[in-house]
Amino acid sequence: MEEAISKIETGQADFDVFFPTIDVLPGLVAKKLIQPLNHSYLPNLQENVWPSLADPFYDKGSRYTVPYTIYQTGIGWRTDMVPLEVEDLEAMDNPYDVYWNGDYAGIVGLYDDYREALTVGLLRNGIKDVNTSDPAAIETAQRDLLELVELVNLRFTIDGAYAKLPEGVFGLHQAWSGDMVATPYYFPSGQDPRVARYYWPGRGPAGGTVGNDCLAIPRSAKNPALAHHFLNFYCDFKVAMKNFSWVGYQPPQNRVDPEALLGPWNEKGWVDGYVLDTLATAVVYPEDFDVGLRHVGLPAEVDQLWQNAFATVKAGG
Amino acid sequence: MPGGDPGVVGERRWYWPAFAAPGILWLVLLFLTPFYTVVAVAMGGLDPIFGQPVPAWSPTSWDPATLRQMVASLLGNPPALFPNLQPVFVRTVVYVFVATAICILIGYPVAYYIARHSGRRRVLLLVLLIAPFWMSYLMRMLAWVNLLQTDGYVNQVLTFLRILPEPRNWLAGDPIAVVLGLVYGYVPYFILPLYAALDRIDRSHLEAARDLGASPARTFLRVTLPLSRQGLLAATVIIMLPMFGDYYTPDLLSGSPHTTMIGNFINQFLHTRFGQPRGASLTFLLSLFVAVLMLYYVLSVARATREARR
Repeated sequence: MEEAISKIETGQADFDVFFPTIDVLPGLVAKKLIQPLNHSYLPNLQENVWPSLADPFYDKGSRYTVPYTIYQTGIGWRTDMVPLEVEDLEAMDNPYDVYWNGDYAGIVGLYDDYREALTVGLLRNGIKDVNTSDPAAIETAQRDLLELVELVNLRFTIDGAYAKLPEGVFGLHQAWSGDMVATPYYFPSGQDPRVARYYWPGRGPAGGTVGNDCLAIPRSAKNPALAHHFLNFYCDFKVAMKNFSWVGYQPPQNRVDPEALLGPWNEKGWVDGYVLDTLATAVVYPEDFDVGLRHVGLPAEVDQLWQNAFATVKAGG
Repeated sequence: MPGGDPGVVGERRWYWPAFAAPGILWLVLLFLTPFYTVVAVAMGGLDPIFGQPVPAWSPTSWDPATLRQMVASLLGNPPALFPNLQPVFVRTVVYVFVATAICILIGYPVAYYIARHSGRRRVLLLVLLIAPFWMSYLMRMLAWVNLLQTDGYVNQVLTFLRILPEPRNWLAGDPIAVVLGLVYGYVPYFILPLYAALDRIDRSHLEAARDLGASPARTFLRVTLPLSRQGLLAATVIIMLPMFGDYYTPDLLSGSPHTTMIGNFINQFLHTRFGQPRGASLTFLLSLFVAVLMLYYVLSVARATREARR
């Protein structure tokens, strides 16, 4: 993201369409790097997209963005390496405790992302302000992750959930729901992907984060009208679902029937549906965005606190 | 050598140095300029909105605060709430020296064999040595990720031969996997320059040693090894320098905080908002450190050249 912004800012790239995350949106608007949208070109936005994301808190009135894909940040695992079912995690006082188990040494991973990783430490301690500026809270998360490093030889990856969990390199990994939807296609040939499980603690007392990426048009776009057509094209139900079938990340489309997304594993090597039925928990519902916690951009000095804590964890203490 | 050798084309002072001009220009453009940029970023400020670096191009506006923080951190005395990078630095040095030692143990006999005893197979062996360069380092490491998996070929072979009682999880943050990954990745770069140095040794020196009654082992220790010293040093420097900055080997083969190297932190800082001056500072400090190794190499070559002229 930093590289893309840098290229747009310095004029090295003249993208017509840009996929920003919500934390950089205020800066993009303040620096006038993206342009306001002309909604007369975007009928599919109001017609097809979840109302909560057609008028999101981070961009009221969708003046600058349309939502791209949505996700939860939950917990993924394989039952042949971590003998638990979704109900077992639901029954835990705090499902994030599942990582702190010495029996799983060597097979536990978190995302190599300072916000996502430290949030596990915050939520494990009941701290639901996932944008906290409190040094004590951040230090608590840091301390718990350092403990986890020693307890299970924690590893940080960005492909641990969708690729390395199926490969058996990990048995338990922090997981974006979209990564888990994609896992069946990363299992080695002949292996049964129905061992994969996913749980999002966000509907329970422990809380969990949700997120979405966006589509925007840079101010320097050479073909802004065409870019609007592309955004509208993506908000078309069939197009969004086609994209979902490729990337595994769900679109916030009104016509999505969660039950109809599910399908069984076809022994020939694919899912007869969008989401493997044993991973039904990875389907995102509109209500999840009512209860889900959101990461937003942090002021510089707070961001540094988070980064220092994460670097301390990655240095091993 | 003013004027050069009499009778040789181009006796004017500028003639031979002119041949070095493209190389010097190349270095100025593609080494000194980026290096100065690194320093300017390390000593510069940050854009308050996106957290991107604002380089301080003029030395008069340099602010060494970030650099000081990184030095303190590398020395094990970080400011409050700042990561302590001393263990990471020590680990990096240990990994690089161990991997280099293994490269020497593996690479020297191979280079020696190809230079001396490979006969008609020399070309084939050289092609096989160069073959890894046809594939990107990243792809070769990704191949190792598959080979080292719990049910991968490495474990299958080792358990079949009963070297291991059960499959080992090599990718679970194992320092051995990271060091062996470094060895695998860099050993071809070690063998080739060493082979070139061994191949250049005048065989009459070896024959003289044998004629004077030296055993093969003594001939190697007293003649071959000293004469290949510069090649050995060059090959060692060639692999050590990139190893110090390596980050994808520990990333791909481990990902554990127990195996992170300095390169991982440079990569992490450079790819996060507000982090670039720290990444640039670490890059600068690592460059200073490896420059010491390079200086030793340069001085050693200069000394050897002087001795050869006597």
